[in-house]
Amino acid sequence: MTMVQLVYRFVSDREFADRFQQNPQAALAEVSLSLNEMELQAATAVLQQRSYCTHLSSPEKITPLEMAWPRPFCPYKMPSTVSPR
Amino acid sequence: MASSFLPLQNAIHSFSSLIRTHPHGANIDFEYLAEILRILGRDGLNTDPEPVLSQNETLWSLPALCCEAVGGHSSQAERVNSAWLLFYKAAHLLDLIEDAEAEDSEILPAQPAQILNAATGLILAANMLLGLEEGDVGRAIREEFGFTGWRMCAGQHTDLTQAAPGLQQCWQIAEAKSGEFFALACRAGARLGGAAPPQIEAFDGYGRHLGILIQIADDVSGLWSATGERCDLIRKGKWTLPVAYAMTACPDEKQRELQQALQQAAKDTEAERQARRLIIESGAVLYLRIEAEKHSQQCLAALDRIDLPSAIRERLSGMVTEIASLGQS
Repeated sequence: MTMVQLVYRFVSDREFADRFQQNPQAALAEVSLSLNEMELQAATAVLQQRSYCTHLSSPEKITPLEMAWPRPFCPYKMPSTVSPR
Repeated sequence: MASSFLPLQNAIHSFSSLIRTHPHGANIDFEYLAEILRILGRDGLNTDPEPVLSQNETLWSLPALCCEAVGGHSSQAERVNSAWLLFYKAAHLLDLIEDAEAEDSEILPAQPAQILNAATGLILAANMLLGLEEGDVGRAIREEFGFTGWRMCAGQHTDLTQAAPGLQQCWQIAEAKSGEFFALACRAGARLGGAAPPQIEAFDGYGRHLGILIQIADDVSGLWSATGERCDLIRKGKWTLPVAYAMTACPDEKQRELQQALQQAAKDTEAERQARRLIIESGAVLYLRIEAEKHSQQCLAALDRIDLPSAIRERLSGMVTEIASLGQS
């Protein structure tokens, strides 16, 4: 199972997500993963944040500030003195 | 000290000096130069210690910081830092035009031809600044700027010509467009400071993962509209990382639903909302948050391979943590 498949399983299988959040190691043992140690650590750290899951049922309520990067801090875009016409 | 290095001010000063001190500079129309200076952002020089700006100051000082990190002085990297920043601004301007749809003309800061003309001036100025760097190091840095620029253009070409790139291809584009550019900044700065090849390689790794992290941040924030910008979802045929993930992860039926919503999103706000909902429900932001965590770990691992002054380590690692935190408190 790749990272993409793991994340999709997490968001589409509520019981798996619950089991994961209670005991990530046991949940991960249920599936055959092709992830390295760093990916496993990153996945565990992020997927364990239950607060994220509570938003999944109502994504329109999620704002960039709550869930993603705050829109004003978008480092790739340089600030511009020119404002939209 | 890197803390007193003001990258934008420095770039504007370098650009102005270039024109003022050269005999041919007097023949260039003042209006055009003023336009370039305006674009570079005179009022972007505000040095108030607000968090957004302070992080950008670190980001825009990457060559100078990396030069200092290996024992050089930031002044050794002033010209290269300015050249890199001029390229950065030019790339941003070109991106605005290349990504724009016909209906975007009203949110562009100027006519596309005008933006193109200003970006060309910035690239020429950056090249002239690089031309002032002397010796083998100067030649190596000029070559790196040239080849990195071409790799970025090649990445942009793929981005522009592939209507529906797969997830793997989106990652390759992110590395070519953004990873390469920030790797260049770090590598050039370290080279100017006299770094040994293993240190240069470590700085390259730091910059590369930082650039990918920044591209993830850009793509995730692009799921929403902001003042003066359109959200990525209403750009026809524009598959960013979240879209590519959703189209990879979702079953066929959901993919068709998303495809349909994306096709209508440009003219129908309900379809745009529907596309965003499908993407978020597919776990795209969650997936990208994991990838961000992974790249931030790789940034920090690269820094661990270099013996750095603690103040510089804090600035470089602090920026990574800030970007990777995705606005979480």
